[in-house]
Amino acid sequence: MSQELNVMESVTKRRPKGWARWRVLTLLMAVFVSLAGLRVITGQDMLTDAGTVRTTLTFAVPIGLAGLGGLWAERAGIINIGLEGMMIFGTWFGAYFAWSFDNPWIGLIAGTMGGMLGGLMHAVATVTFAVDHIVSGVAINILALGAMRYMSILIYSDIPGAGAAQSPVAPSFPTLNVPWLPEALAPVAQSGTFLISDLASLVIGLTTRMSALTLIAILLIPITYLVLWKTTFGLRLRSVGENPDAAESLGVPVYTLKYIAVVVSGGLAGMGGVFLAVVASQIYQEGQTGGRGYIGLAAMIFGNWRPGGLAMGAGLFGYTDALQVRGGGAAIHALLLLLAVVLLVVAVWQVRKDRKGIAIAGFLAAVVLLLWYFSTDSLPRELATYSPHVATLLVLSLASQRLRAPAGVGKQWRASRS
Amino acid sequence: MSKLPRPDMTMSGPVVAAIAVVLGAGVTAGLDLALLWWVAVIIGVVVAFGFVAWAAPLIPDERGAGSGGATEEGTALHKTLVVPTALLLAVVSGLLSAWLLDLQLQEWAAALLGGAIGAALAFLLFHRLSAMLALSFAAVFAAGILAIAVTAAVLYFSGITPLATFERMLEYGTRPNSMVQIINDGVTYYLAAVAVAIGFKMKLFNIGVDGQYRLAALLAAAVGGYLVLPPVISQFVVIVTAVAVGGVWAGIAGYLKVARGVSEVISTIMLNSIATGITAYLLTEGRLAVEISTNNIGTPPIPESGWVPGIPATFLGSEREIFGLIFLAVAVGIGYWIMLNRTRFGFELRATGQSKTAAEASGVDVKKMVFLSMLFSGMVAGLVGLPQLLGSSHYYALDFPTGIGFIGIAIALLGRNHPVGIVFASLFWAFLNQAAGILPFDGIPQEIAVIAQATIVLTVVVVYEVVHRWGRRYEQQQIGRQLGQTTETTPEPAAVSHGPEHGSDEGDDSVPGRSKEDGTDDKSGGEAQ
Repeated sequence: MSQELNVMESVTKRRPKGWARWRVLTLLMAVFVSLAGLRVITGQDMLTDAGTVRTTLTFAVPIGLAGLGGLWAERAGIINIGLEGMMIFGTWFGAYFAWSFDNPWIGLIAGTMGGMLGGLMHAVATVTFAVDHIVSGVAINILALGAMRYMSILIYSDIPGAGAAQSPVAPSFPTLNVPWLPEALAPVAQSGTFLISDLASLVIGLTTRMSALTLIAILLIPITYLVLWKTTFGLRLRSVGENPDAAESLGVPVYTLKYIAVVVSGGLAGMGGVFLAVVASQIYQEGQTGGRGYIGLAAMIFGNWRPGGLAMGAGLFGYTDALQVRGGGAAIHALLLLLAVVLLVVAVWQVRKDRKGIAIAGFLAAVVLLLWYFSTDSLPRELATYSPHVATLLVLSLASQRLRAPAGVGKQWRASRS
Repeated sequence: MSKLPRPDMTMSGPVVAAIAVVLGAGVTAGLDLALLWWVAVIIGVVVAFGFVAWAAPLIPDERGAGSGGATEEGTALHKTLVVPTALLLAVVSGLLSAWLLDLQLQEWAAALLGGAIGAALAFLLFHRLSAMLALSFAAVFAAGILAIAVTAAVLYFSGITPLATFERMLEYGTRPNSMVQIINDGVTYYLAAVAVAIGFKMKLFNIGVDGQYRLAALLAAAVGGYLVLPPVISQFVVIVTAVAVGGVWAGIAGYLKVARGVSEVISTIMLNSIATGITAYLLTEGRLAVEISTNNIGTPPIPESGWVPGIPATFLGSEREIFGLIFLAVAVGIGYWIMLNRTRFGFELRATGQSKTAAEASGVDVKKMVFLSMLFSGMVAGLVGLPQLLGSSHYYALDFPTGIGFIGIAIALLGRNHPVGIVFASLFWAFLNQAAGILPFDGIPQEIAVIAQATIVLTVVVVYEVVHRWGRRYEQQQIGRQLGQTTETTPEPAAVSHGPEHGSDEGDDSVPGRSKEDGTDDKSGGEAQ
């Protein structure tokens, strides 16, 4: 009896119904409002202008696609640290085929296939041979780097403007514009009113010069959600990641689903690679992925193995990257203030929860950040570049105990029949 | 071998070993007069091995595999796998030692010594090679052959003749100067791989070795360059700085894992990037860097009193020097072995790596272990840059080698986290890197070495996994069979039951319930990573 009572209590203590569904949106809005506020207080227009929104998208899409790849694999129980390598396959094949056929869509297909090839290798090693997932992923990363450089030397050696480290310029995807909206909103955006002009900038940024692939990538997030959470196939795939033994006993084809998940994962990472090569720079360059596969994985963990959270994580990385690329040492400097305030709020929150250690740590960190903010004008460029990584570490260390990975992730599982 | 007549007597182990060595050396020396040296060595070692196999039943039983592995000898696995592996290993090591000695000695002396070494190893391996170890070696051989085949296929499909390429690589890689370079690179790789292996033993993936060693090398170089200290003390301070920085940087990941439950894979990757940022920040003029040459900046060079002198490599026939810090790598390797096998910490480390819950239940403080092994891993990682720093470049500049941490991961996998295995793996890796350096002159992309390396890592882990699974299943069958035997009959005298006529074709019957055990055990097949 008493146990039942306890259960009842814990249920009623939870947040109101429907909160889970709107949590992502609420958080996004809170972030947006605070950024708008920060812009008004510090006068850094770059924080929310249309250019920043566009650049953010450009940087967030590859990370988001890699993160989606990680999501598919990990939901089926396979850690995919080979995302980086699969992205490299994507960049190379995407650029090569887009260039040689003079058609970005063929590049997209080829790059996605290249990533899928990497995924297939990972699947053979981890699913069929039950090799440790991280080991296989690391090997794929090494292989991708060497193999693509090898191919570049073989293929691009006689082509002017290309070589071992880069491809010729490839054609890009068409860009999409909404006809009259941006012009209509431009004066509003320039007015500088709190929140309203920020919203206008956001709309302008989202409606002008958006690459077709960006749109596809953004659409893939709800699609992934629908497939994995609203279909039988998705339920089975996730059950494989949670408890493969139970899934197998119910007749779910565990190996097949794991294969599908890892190959799709590779394909998504490859698509992220195509975006980097064809949209972001129109050229394949060695080292172009720059660890974005790993960051995608971090964004996915950040987002608690959910598509919405993952999009937020990718957005965070994309945003700080965008500010940094647009020469916003000062803008990132302004973010210090926001971070300090957030840390202060966290500290107060922890005091209420009677966890003094974290509260004191949070408070001290906030004070240090405030001192830093008021004693300098700008963040050194080298450090600004890596602010997303620091942010990830901070967020993970503050939130990681609430995150829940699929229960069967990383297990070297073998079917009971063999 | 069992067909040959044997005298009705016993021989003590050392006598057999001595005869084998004399036989091996003698046959080699004799044949060396008529044949090529390597053919002579092969035949000599094979003859010695044959003698050892023939004489094996004559040795009274306190030696041999009887002590540890119950009755491994005489089983089908032993006959089909362990013996051939032992033979192959003996021949290969005989050839290698003869070839190395050939650089120093006359050819006949080298061949003779090679034959002797091969024969001695033949005796040791025949009697001491356990089935599990033989399986590992067989797996590595198989993986090597697979990787070579894949590499050859890649070359062939790109329109390059594989054999000529391999020959060219072998020729260039064994030049004296190349060998010094291989040893020097190997020292660096070895340290990185040990750093990774400490974590691996505990199922911790320290992907952050890369960031740890770069940050440690930069700060150590700065300390060495700015603080002018008396000789010995300077080196000591530099090394301690590097160890401390590496330890702190890895300790952050360890702390986050223990206190906040952050996956060490993600946190070390982030710390890698942050380390890149910090090095870029510190390595600018006005902060830690000065101008080294027209387009290179770095920390001020360490004064000559702070260097670690190299070892002249004249015995390899080269003008260059081997890093003096090779002794540091050796010490780290020995320390790693002692820590793993002879200390309580090492025992708890391995126990935690194999089963966290079991370790916890038997009183191991898992959290403390996670933090400490991460810390130790980082401390070793801090050493990675030092051979290069103190032995060759003497400053940390923009062109300091990067990415060694990731190579270390691959090498630790290849060497199966074993202190000796990693030695061979790192030398092999360095050999591939160095040997491929000649290929661009022939218009062949040298990245074929990277492809070979990645393929071999993948094939090694896959083949090892498969072979390991077979081995376990086989071992369990053996145990089941033995249990069945001992309950039926009284045990016979041990010397006889080791004979090959026993237990070879007893059929596949076994105790009931065995197959079930197989099933459960397969899942833990990868624990020996």
